Amino acid sequence: MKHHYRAYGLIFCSDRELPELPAYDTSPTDQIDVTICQGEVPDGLVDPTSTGVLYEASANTFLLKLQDIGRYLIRNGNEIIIEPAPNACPNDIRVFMLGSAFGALLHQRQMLVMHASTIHTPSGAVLFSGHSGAGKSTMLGEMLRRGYKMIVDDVCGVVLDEAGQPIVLPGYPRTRLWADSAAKLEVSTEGLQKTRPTLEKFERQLPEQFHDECSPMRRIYLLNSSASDEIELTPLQAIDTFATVLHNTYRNTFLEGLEMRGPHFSMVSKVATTVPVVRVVRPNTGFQLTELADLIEADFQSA
Amino acid sequence: MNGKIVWLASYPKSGNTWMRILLTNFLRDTDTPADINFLETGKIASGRQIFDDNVGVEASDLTQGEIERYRPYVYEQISKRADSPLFIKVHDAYSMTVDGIPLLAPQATAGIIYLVRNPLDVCVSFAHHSGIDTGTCAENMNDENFAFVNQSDRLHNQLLQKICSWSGHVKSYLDQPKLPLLLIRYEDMLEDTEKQLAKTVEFAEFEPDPARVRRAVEFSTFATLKAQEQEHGFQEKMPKAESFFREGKSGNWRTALSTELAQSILDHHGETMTRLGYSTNI
Repeated sequence: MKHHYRAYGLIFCSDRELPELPAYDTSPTDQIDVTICQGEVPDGLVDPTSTGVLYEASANTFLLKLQDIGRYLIRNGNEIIIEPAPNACPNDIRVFMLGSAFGALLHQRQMLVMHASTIHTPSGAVLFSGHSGAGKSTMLGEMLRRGYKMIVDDVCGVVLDEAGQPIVLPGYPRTRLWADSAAKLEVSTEGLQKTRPTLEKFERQLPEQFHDECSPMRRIYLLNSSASDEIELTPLQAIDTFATVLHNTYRNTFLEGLEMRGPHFSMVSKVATTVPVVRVVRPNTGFQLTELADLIEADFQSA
Repeated sequence: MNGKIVWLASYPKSGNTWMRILLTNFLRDTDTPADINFLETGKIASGRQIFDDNVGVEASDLTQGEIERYRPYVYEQISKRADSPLFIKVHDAYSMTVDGIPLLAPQATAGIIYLVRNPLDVCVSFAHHSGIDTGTCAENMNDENFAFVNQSDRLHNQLLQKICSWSGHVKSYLDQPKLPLLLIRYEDMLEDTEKQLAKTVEFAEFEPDPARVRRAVEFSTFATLKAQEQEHGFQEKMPKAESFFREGKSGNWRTALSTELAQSILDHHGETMTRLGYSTNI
């Protein structure tokens, strides 16, 4: 049984169910962009260009290896082969497929992949970027509460349109929240599935609040916390904009081994010269979510 | 040892940050004091970012057991990529992972500088730093299971660190047989900063040029650090603490701790204190 899905502007054909992704009815004229199937995956690549603790990469080939979960081979931007570990939980397998494996896949397709949670606004896509724990998903949750629709949570795919302008591709309608963030957003975690059985991190499927279309990239907010006493919004200068887009690229370290530094640099340059970046610093004494979201919302509404 | 990492290991509030500032000023070797918010020895072993950057998946998707399993390999990666000795701060006690290998991977390690301070003073300083009373702090210092970042319902910018009790922490390092270790007492740093810094840089295989050491010490005086914090703040200050650089002295416990509390600390840690040459008289 084959399952078809559409995400990041791509049609996926999978031999396993991927309930997070929007199902897609194929027509005979459709071309499959990416196949996902179970199969044998090697322990290592022959002569990889670079390696990390759990990955090996070379041009067009990427291997992710997680003990007790499985190995993933991602090739040519159009194929993901998964060899599950014995007794691996299917949810666990999907967590890393939708994360790092998709990241590598989109890199191979020469997209700019931002580590960002993204909403659609009347003027276009607004990205909340930053490292793990900066508050991206929490800010996305607050914006959903204010009536905006989500484009993607975490792995944000960007391409250039025919006019050379960056546009954000719709991902899929799922967000993930830690228990304390859910409490701040007054989201009940009762009945929500945990991302992994032992983590207090929950998944929300929000098809009604999903913007399933491309959206021009309008603004990036770089979220951070510091020892300062006040919330500060600072528009960045060009040179810092470039560095921000570069460093907040999803799984930036994969690019070296995938031999994608060149295409990545030119995408980063394009985005950095067309999309304003605003650094948001919040006090590390606590997440004053409403106040922070008020300031950010006023900022992008007035832009 | 083939590794490049020189661990700056200590129980919290034992002079680690001061040593990092001294080392930064030594390594920079310039005409102005280093900015305390941009330390070249800024990495901490338990930082979420260095884990995420080196592993290929995010710690936020992993269980505590998986994070622990992969941490030694993170340090191997960092060590492999370094072309000169790299100082990394660590508060974790010396321990083995779920797979029975040392958390501080021997292949990544050049050596360990272990900083220690009289636990009576640690108690006063640690209580201020954490915004808790000295009694609670002393209980934490006695707790063999004491850990940082052990809340499982949220994402913290650091990973879980098993700190252990104060004595347990000291013994975990001093009694590990594998890695070369230099013991530095905070009190000796106060007494003769230049001498202790020279010993430290020499251990890390830098030339302890006396003029360079002297200047690093001059740029890292308590007054300089406190002034910098007052003017620009310090990123490493805990939210509840008034300031990070507070007194920079030894013996404060005499006025800040009750006799009973001091006695309780001695009861728990007297043996280890004696081993380190600290008086156990009240």
